[in-house]
Amino acid sequence: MKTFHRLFRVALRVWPRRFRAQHGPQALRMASRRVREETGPRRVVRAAGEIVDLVWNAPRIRWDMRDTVTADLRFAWRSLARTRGFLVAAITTLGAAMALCVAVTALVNAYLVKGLPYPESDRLYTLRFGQPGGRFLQGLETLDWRTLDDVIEQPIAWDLDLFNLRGAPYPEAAQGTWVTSGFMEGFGVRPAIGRGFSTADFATGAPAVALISHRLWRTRFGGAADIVGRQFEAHVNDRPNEAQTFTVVGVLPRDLWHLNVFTEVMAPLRAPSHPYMARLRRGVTPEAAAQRITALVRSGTPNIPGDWQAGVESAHADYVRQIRPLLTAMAIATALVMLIACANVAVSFTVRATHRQRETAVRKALGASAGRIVRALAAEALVLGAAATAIGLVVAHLVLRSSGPLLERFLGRTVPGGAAALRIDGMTLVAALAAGLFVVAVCCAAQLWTTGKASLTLALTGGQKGASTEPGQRRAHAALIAVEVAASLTLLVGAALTIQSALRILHVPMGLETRDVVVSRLNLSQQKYPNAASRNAFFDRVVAGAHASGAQQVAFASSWPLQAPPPRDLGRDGDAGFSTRGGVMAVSEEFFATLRIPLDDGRGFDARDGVGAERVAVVSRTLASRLWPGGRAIGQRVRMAPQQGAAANQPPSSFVVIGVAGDVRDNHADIDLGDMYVSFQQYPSPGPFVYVRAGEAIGRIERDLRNVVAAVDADMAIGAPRLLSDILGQQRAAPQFLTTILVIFAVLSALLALVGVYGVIAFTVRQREREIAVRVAIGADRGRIVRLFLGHGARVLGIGILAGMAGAVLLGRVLETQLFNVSAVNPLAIGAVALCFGACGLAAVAWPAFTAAAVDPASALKDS
Amino acid sequence: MAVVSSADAFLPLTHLLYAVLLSLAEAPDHPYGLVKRIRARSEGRIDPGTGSFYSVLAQAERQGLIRERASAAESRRHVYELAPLGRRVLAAEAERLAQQLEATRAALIPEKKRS
Repeated sequence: MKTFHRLFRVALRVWPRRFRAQHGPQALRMASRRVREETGPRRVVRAAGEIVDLVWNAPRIRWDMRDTVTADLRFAWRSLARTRGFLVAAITTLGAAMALCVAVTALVNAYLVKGLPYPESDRLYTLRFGQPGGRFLQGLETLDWRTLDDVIEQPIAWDLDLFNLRGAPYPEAAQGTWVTSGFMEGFGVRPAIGRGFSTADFATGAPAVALISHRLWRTRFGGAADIVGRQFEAHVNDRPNEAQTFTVVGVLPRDLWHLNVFTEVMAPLRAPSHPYMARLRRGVTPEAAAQRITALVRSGTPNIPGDWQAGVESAHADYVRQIRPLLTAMAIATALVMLIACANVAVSFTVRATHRQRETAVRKALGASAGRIVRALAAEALVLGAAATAIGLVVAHLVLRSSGPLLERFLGRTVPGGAAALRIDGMTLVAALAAGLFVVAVCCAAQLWTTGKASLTLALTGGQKGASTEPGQRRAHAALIAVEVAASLTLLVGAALTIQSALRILHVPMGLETRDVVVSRLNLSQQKYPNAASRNAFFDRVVAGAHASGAQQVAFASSWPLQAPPPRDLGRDGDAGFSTRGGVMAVSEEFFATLRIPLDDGRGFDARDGVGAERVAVVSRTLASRLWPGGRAIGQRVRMAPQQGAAANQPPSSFVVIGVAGDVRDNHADIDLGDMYVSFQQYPSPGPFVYVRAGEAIGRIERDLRNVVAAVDADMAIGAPRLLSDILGQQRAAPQFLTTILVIFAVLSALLALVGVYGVIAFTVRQREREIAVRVAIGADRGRIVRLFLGHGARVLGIGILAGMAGAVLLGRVLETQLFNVSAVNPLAIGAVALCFGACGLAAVAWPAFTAAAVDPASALKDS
Repeated sequence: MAVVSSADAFLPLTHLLYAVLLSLAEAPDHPYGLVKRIRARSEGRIDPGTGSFYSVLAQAERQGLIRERASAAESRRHVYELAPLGRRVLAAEAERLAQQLEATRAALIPEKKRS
């Protein structure tokens, strides 16, 4: 029987440890009795049978006793739920950080990672022919671009235009585009209905054809099935001579997204043009294409500077160039917030884990293997990470779905593929899971760092309650807090820089007053208003009508509000060439009064400056000092070069300067303030902008303006009036958006970091209560104890602040292009923020330090 | 721990598990006592080895059909009793067997005799 006992004990090892510990002895007794029931050889057979039976059935027991993942997770959840405050704080912090992370990843993905929404969009390139000084090369359209067929698959060009649709159901100004033959194939656009343009459509004299947008098809043609072949009449701004009849050859796809919004009507561009985008052939590098284009342009343009080169840049990179730094800054800020959130939760985890050392020690004593304990701790981190990821995904999904268009507006660029492309796709999901894993890894490491080291005797004897924190744990806390402080400081400095920049932008004098001014656009048909006299008569009637309805001032101008007017070469009359370049716009009598632009000298335009009178101009202060430095501009003559594309023998126009106006900026960064205004009566644009200073009538001005225009001409289409202040606000939306984001991130993360600093020091104080009590009991100076903790906190803060300063310099470099008149590395800002944050940090440390000094030795020693 | 609460999900039971549940329904017992009673009831037809028996015990305990008696925790011998779920499962199995029995009788006994 002894041999049997020995063998059976050995065989019992195939049972799982826990089961063996629980049932092994009883099983051995049972097997022995069963063997003893037999005698002789049968006993041997039964003994062998028992052992075989034991080994044979062990896998089933192992299977039944397995620690399932779900059991681990359920246990982890119960364990987390016991510390509800910790659970709520951790899930909220991590969930918010994760939501931010997912939303920003989706933004970065939609704008920067995914290309433009065209087939093989990586072969689309923007071509640049600019010269230093902003001048454009002449005569590019006369070159034989077909010689580049071996590198360029499709040359693409388009010309934006406004198609003023006439007839039933109502006159409508539709934004449209004249496109070259390579446009449709180059972008891979296939009409949803009908056909694209054929080569014959581009032939001069061929019948006018058009593709219309899905929206236009639904609203204007009622979604008619027989749309192909139907006709519509429109006059266009670029060809205002007469209305044209277009035959619809197809309908564009509903989800067509283009780099600009001019996609309601597309028609073939028949005038000679040169490409400014191209689909390169497969395998052709942009450098090779640039070389070939440069060679072609050089061959046809003799006076080109020696170092001139054509630019070939990825169309996608070109599209996102302006927002790339903004998104990069957001991504970095988000990563920092994530880091802070993780560090914060990790600190809480270590504090919580310290309290659970006793529980862990007991589990170890009961036979739980190290792997088992690690699994239990990892399960807690996993539960937390999974919950945070799930919350993050749901919140980010809701935010992206509800505020896609708003985000587009703030960023100042539409999402490639439309707002619908701003969603959580596979790549965003992978990023979210990676971030979730990072959270799990950090929480897991924090748990193991403390709990894994639980000492049995120390924990079970209650020694840890009164003992000092372990040095390893102290180091972990210090490292985590330093990370939090560094990341927060980086964000705070970034926020300070953008605030400074936003304030500077707000304080840039624009040179005009935008409040209470409404802007709209009119489109006069060439047929009805063929000459200056008829247009001026129309404008006069509109001005009179607007005044009658209560508007303070009404003005017309040829240029977009708050955008640079078309630049022209300018010079003094009598000089050989043109000495400068300035924006030129035609403005009407009340323009300066409407926008409150001051007149420094001379007069503005009035009735004397009509069609037959001498050509007159008002120059800006900067232009006046540039052309006549030190002298008076009034009465001098200024020359303006003919427009590009004008007949070669056209002489320059000459103007008498009658006034000098204050400088006006088109945007906060506008530094070229040399502008010239000419009389609108002498240059009455058929598509002018109307500016109305409404005064008290601001509430009803839109309706009034429509009524006034309709009373003068019932067929006149008028664009939706917009407040000039809104247009200015939109210009400033992107920097303000970045500022808001960074300020929110920075303040929240600073709060988290301060709470972290406070928590750790308070925890350390509690851990060392007994030690402090002993020190006080044997006569330690209380001031010394405060200094001890302050010193400890200050060291951690100092390390964090130093690292944060380095981070701030790096973030400043990323933000550089987004900052206006603010140095990216700003020692003053960095110093001020570090000082403030350091002071707050010390306050957070001082609180628990003073609590420590106030410890009553008697009660502290009694408690422990 | 996969505890299935619907009794039907456990059916049909193995002979051994049925015997264990039935014995425990009569009285709580320790493993060897259970083996002896099972053997006696089946006239030696069911005589599980120690390994087989403990694997059935582990399975039944995991599924929540039986449980260790709280008062016996301190003693050297583990005494088991039927859990409420085990009772429901046993009842369901008995019902199933009764239906089987009925069906078998109906198939074997001639029509005349029954009428």
